[in-house]
Amino acid sequence: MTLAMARLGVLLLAGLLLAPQARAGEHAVSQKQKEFQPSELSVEVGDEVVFLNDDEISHNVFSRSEGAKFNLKIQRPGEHKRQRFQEPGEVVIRCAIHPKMKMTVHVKPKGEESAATTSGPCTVSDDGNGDDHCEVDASEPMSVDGKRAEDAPESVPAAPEAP
Amino acid sequence: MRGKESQSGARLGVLGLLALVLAAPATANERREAYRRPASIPHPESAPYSEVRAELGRTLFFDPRLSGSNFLACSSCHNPGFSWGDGLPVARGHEMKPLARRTPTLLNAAWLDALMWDGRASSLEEQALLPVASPDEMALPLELLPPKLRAIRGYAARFEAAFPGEGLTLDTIARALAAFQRTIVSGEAPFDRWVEGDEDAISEAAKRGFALFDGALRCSRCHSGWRFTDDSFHDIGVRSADRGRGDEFPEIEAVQFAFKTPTLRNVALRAPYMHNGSEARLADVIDLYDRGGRLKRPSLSPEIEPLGLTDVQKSDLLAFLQTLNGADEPVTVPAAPR
Repeated sequence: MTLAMARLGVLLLAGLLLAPQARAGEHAVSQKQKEFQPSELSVEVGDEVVFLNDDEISHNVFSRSEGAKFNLKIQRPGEHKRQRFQEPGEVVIRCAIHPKMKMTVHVKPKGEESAATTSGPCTVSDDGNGDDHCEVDASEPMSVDGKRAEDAPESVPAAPEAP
Repeated sequence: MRGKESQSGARLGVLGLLALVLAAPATANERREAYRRPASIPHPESAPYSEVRAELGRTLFFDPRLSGSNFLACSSCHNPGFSWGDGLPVARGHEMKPLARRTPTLLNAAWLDALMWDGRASSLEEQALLPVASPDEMALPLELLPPKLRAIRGYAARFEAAFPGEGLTLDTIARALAAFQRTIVSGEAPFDRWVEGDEDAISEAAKRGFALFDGALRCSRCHSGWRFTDDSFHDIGVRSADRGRGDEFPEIEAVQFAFKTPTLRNVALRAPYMHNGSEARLADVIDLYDRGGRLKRPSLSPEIEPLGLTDVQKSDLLAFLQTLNGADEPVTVPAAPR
């Protein structure tokens, strides 16, 4: 195992242990290494998604999908921002700064089974009704208005050269 | 008892190792690895490599009859002799009209995630005909292009060989141009040889410059990977009233006055710099970053801050950037079909 692999493994483990958890009806999406994790997510109408910037660079999450147009504005490393999904449908979410960052949120009518993707920073658990949810530790403060958390980590021949 | 002791000792050892793994900074070799050249060109599944298509694309690329004036070819601005740019502050279009932006290089176009300075095209096929149709650039209305090329006898056989049964259409023209542009790859540079382990390939000053670039200054947050770009968009404080990507996303402040992070391959050969040629020399670009941008608008990227570089650091950065000049393959200009 290379040092890089070992380090990745340790970091993943740490991520699992330290990741903020989400309440029922709440899901978490991480932005890390210029990717959304997970890249697909199923939620119910009325659910809220917490977008965490776990990267070392700023992002700007937005969507222009019908029924879910929003712009979460600049999000520095370590910041969290929330978005509630009110209408059923497929929502394509992107980062305005990094065009290759794309994900899809499948918003389903209330009551339909929500198959939340299990990868990502949230802890998925059974809510007792047979549904999986990203469970959340309410003690983890998340900035609703998107302000930076106080403890946010900083995270032909070549032409001759002109003289 | 002894067994338990050795067990807990082993556990301690593992924990110690774990701490070392976490604490150890990335080694120079690991950091270099992130910049290793890829082994092959990533042709998309929808457009697998075809030599006959790429050669047709080459012919089209150098043919000025793709313009309304019969004077401007794609290669007029994307000149291989100037690292697939034109060396001008801003491009010259139809009837020599100065355009708003500088000609971007086509080096390593196959890897682009976003095309044009503002990213309004997302594939080479989508981008290929935009300059042809632009009244300011090649100024040929697209509905006139296929009949114009069909009237050139030599093109019919070439299109039939490249796209059997598909005909000479805007779609096949764009696909041929894209196929050729995917073959434009920057040649091996001294930096690449250093990445491969040749310690003498670059100077000590260049190594220090790379350490700054990839380390303390974190230039590599955007200028990442072997192309030295992640194709992201930022307002870095360039003197310009052009809103760039902001024209496409007027509601998003972060991309007002934002332009695509350019590749740094052959960068020392591609002056002047920025989307509008407003920085004449590479040293001026370093100065712009050192000051945290020349214009500080609300859209200025949070990553752009004054750096406080010393003269030696600036010189080291320049030395590093000069190691990215590749030995590009000579380019053959095909005879135009008649």
